[in-house]
Amino acid sequence: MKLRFDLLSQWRATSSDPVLVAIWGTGLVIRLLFMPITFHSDLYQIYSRAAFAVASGDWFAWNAQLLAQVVHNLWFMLVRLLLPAQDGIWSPTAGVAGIGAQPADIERFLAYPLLARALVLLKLPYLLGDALTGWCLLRLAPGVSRRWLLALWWLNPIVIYTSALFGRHDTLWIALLVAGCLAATHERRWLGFVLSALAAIARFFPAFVLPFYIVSVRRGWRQVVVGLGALVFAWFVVDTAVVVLRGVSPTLTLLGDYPHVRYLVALAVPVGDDIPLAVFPLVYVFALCYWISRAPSGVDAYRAAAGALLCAIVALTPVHPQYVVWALPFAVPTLARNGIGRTIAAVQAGLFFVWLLRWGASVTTGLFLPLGSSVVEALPDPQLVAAALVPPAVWQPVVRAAFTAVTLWIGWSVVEDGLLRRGARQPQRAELVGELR
Amino acid sequence: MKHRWAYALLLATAILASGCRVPLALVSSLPPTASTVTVRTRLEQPFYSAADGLTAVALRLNLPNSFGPNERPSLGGGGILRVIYAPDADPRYPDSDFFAWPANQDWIGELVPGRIVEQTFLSRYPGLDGITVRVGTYGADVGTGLGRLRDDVTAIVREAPIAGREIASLAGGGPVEVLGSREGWIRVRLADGRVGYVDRSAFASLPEPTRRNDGELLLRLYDERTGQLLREARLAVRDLHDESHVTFRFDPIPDSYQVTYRFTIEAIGSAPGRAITLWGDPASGTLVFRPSYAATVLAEAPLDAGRWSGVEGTLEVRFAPVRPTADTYLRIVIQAGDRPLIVHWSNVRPPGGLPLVSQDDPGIWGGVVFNARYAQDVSVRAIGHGALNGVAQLFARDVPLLLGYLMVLSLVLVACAWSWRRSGRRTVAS
Repeated sequence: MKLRFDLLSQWRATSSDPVLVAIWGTGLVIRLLFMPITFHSDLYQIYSRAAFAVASGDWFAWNAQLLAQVVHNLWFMLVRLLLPAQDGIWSPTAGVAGIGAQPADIERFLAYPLLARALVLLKLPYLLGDALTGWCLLRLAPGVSRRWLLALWWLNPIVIYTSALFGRHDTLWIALLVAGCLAATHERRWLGFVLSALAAIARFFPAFVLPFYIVSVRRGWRQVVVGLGALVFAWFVVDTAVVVLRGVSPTLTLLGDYPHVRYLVALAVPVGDDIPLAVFPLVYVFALCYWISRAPSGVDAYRAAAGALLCAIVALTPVHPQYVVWALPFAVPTLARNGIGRTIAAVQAGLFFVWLLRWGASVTTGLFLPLGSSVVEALPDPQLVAAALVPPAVWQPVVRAAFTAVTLWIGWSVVEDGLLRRGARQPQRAELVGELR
Repeated sequence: MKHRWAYALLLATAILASGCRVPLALVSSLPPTASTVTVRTRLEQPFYSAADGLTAVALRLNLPNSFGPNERPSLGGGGILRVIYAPDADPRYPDSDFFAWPANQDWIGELVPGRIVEQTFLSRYPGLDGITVRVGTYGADVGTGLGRLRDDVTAIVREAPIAGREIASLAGGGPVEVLGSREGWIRVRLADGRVGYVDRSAFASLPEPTRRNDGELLLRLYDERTGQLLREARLAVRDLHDESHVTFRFDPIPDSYQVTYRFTIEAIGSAPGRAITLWGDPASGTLVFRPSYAATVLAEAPLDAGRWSGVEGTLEVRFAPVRPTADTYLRIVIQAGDRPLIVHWSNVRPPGGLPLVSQDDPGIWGGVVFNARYAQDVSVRAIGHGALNGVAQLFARDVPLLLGYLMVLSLVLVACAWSWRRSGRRTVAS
């Protein structure tokens, strides 16, 4: 009842601010405009696997991103009813690692008469993920300008690109992670833990954040041990279940076959003996040691740690453009605080789009394939345009370095805002109150 | 002030709508160097050009550290870079490999009077000046049996005619089993059973031809769109060699770029038993042919006039944009001048996947490390029109979705309007 009242009052507060309504409306319209006219094969692959799972009943055939795949399977079960005669449009090889969807499969999909509807329906959960994250962020940081907070997430070009244009499911798990944080602020620590753990099962980014959650929102160290034990146990149960069902361990598949793991150790410093010192694991373990030894507590501390860590992952590993969105959710409340933060957010988005050129037509002009191959072919490949203007050996390292620097700076700002300034703000407030008295 | 902005906006829109020129590179980054090749005479590199308006070529090469007292200090040592069309390297025509006679292709049968062979094709280059087909004469060059080599030569037996790998050599004066001929070369069977080709000039005597063909082959070329007869070309049947390529030559057609043509071939004055045949692909019903084009030098520039890039280690030679180069195979030719050029090559070949051809070092299978730059015209209006058309098609095929969209957009507008009105009555701090 209380929750319903909260939601109602939240809705009233939102609807009575015309700028907030306009931001929500604008973000929605932009997304709706792009959803039916853009397409990336990642979207097609995951739903091809879902189509296979639903048709064959083999729901665990694709076990590398188990939860993400199961959620897509469930969603596909619902929306296929609205997609008549879609049986032949999916790729039979999308579930074969190393082969994936073939160009002929994609051509079949793009020739589907109800292509626009299919794209909208398949991307709809990501729109909901974006919206849910925005709604949670509004409740998570009450002291910040709500308009800017929402605008920096809901109208952020990186978020719109990831969900509406590229069609990546990452914001679904970002929503779970942010919702977990929100639950923790309402003293629902275990609910927050479960939501964050679910996000970690779906994507590896939240897995790095989870230990910080457990340490930060603890009631005592016993709870930390229980939390970590529960985490390991849950992971073990899921892994074992899949081993029993499929004979393959998702963890080992992930570690052995996926390039994403390699990305984590890609940035390294040579230290001799042919063993490079990987920068990200170094930073991560150092941060974890600091966290455990200093043991900062509270949701604000967790939010700061999570925001900084996610920024560090994006900054220090060679992530693909569709994963950059992970740097945003916990950074947005800090960036929304003042004009400098908003400017930095704009710079980050700008650098992101320049950096996109490095990936060429496949993640830029090629996304507009639903409009027809003639349109895409008429558009110059941005990567080749950039190469004709400035040697790639110059612009690519510079832009990447600038993007990394800005993202790391944002991460540092989040730490400063959540940990360092928090302590400084409190006595200042007390002093002010004292004067008023 | 407002009007000024509006005018500026209108002007910008008009400029954009009329089209703009975009710089484009051939490849996004130069491939890694595997090694270098020293060019003393000539080096060629065919490549596929997707864009139009080629305006520069940047070669990675080594520059001398110092010049001798009698040497003129120069970037390119008096060398020349030339860009020409390479239709002969274009693999998109049915006759894509000169030496291949695939088992799934076959002769189409005697071309007797009254039988007309017809074929359409898209010409991808300007200057169409001929059509090459493969003819069979049913043994009109040479029959089967024993031939005798000349006493004064040692005959080289090749795996394929003209440029095939050497597989054996035969001492002069001896007898050889002759099986037939190809491209004017004599097909022989060696003592160990292997089959190879020997230059006809190495023979003192050959088995008599099994037949003699008469008449003429007539090729007519039409514009496929208008049906207009454009060119005619004739070949005397008796001059044709068995299993060989033959080209019908005609006056070049300058504006043949991206034009679809139809040609017909018929025999005049032949008769059954005295007619030739053509090589075709029964599965696709097409003739195995290749259009030929008049040699066109698109650009030629001295390497000395190039601009050195210290970042990429390349010498960029610029020229006025040349057109058309979109969807064509081009060939860059590097001609050495008064000093050899040391050019980098890579295991990664340029677009098109074709290897470099070096007169000085023929064993390299990689590609020249180079990039090309284009000034391509982009029609913003055409792209905008295409995009709008695409959107219209997507929604026209799905009216319920269109209605749903309209409903959601209306709701968004209503919510915004309602909120603005409501905020007029109440002041809400955000």
